[in-house]
Amino acid sequence: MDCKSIEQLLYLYTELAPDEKEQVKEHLESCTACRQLLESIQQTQQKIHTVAVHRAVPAHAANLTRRIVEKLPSRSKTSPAEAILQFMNKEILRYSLSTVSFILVVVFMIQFFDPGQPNIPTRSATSKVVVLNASQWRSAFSKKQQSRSAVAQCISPFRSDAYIKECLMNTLK
Amino acid sequence: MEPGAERSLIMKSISGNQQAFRLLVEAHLEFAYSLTYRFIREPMESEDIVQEAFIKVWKNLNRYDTSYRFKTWLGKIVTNLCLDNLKSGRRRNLVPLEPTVREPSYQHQDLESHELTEIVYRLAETLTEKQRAVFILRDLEMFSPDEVCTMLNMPPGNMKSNLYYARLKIREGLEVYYREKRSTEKTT
Repeated sequence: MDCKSIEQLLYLYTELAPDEKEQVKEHLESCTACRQLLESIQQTQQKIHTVAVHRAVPAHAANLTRRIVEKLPSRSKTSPAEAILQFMNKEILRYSLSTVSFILVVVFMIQFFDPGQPNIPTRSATSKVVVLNASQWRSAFSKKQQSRSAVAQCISPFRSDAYIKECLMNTLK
Repeated sequence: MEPGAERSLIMKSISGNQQAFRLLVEAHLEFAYSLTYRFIREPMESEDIVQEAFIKVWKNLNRYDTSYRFKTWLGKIVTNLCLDNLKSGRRRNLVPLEPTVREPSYQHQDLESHELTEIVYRLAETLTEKQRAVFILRDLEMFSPDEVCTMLNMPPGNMKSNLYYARLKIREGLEVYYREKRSTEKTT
């Protein structure tokens, strides 16, 4: 360790970790300039300590306390909405909710991009239309067949026109 | 104040007991005022900030995390208010209405140490906001490094860096001051 890099550590001597302190001590044993700098820093710290022990006190502490207590807002009962907001604002809840949402996102991503899933073909919209049309066509076709057979039953060269007419009317009804 | 008694006062204050809160204020008023005055250096402004800080404490007592010292939590609130005040530049007219009454008293302070106090505070005013806050909390209020980091929401490396520059500038400033003082004494 050279003097340049040790300078900052000398200013933070009281805050150093034990291993850092050992390194500094090793350097100080062989360096007079750094030893003198540390002494000078410690003298300044002692001066600052004398400043620290002198505490400013308020001119009228009792008056200040009274003013503070007089200004205190009364504690009103919290409304249910406020209670819910306070509950939602708790850090534990916020962290747990964010963790759950993160897990859900990860699960969704895995499901979405997993190449191992079998490719299940889905029915397209047009195939549904085709199926619908086929069923319509089938019902229309059966109706046509029924009417044809009914007409075939009624029409006969051996029946009179009035009979055929009446038969057709009844059947088609 | 014993931690058990303090916790009991806090619990009573949370349930709305103003008398318990008064005792809590009385126990910590001197610390809150002293810390504020180290930042603001103006008695009336300091009293206003202390008042604001305790009202904030009253409103947010249910959020107080008991894993920290109450003093640390109060110190954090006071420090934030002081930094906001310094940032906004919102300062009172510095001419006090009742100078003899309003001036805060320093207990048992002789002339030489009063002079040293003044020069240290004047040097602290030349520091950056973060350096000044770290210097006041660590070197003047003597909070532990961990507590300073908690109070300023600052990582330990950042705190140490600010503390280094603060101590460096204060030391250099004091050296210049004493050198000039010696030279004027010699000439007279």
